[in-house]
Amino acid sequence: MGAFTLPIRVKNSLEELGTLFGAVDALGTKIFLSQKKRWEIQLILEEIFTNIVNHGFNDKEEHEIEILITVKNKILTIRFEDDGKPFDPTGVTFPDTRCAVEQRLVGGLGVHFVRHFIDTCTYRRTGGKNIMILEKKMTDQAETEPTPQSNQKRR
Amino acid sequence: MEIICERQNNIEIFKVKGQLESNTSPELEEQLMMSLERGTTRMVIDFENLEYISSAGIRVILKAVKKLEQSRGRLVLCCLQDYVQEVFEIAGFDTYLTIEPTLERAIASWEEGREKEENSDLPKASNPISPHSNEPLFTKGTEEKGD
Repeated sequence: MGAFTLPIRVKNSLEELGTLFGAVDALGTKIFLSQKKRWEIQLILEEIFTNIVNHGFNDKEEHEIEILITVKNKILTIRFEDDGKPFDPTGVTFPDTRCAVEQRLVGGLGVHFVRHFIDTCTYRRTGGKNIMILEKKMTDQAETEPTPQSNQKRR
Repeated sequence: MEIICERQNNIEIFKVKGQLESNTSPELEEQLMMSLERGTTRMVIDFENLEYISSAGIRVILKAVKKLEQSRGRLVLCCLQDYVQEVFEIAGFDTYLTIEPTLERAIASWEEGREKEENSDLPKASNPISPHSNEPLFTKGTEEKGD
């Protein structure tokens, strides 16, 4: 797996999702990625991006969201930068997936998915901008090694 | 995304192909809601050809499930690919929803469901209000009255 850097600049519009999905395809052809890994990365991008677009801005103005995808030493890093409202994803509490469906629908599901598929998440607010950095290990082992949780569920 | 709607044994079957994401989910939502407005109570969503789903897609499924609960109907999902199955598991909905491995089993689940319903109705219908009428509950009171 070689090193790879892909900068993406998109507007705060859901129409840009196609651009993000295209970037995942580009990533998949540059470095070897299983189809499952591609869906996981696409999910991370979609959930964070739609969160920013749907909840990040109070005005109707056009904003730019900068995304930088890098792969180095078998670690995928996705950096999001936007000038929306302060939003710290690390402060979002996990939805209790055992609770009633009505409560689960309230929100946080997207962030919950992202947390499941990444290894680390850091956030900082600098110069009126949200900077979120997500890291995901790209080792094959991580894909085949079942987590204790999934083991329990498939029992 | 492509949606094919079929009807079989009074069951509305939606075959969803492609990706269920933020931009395509509203289309499925519209079709499911239209079907529910027509009075559908038995619904199957076949995900055999669904490659990708995000929280936007999950929300549409749950909206349909909630509407069906109100109309005493039921939704069954079938043929989930590994990634899609995993997303439902992470959300914790794999235990809440009925997920069948094949379309045949999804359709057959109503036959099983109906038997269960009929069986559970029996004891309810024959359940007497005072179960032990032969017990002498008021004998003491009548004796006192006699005095």
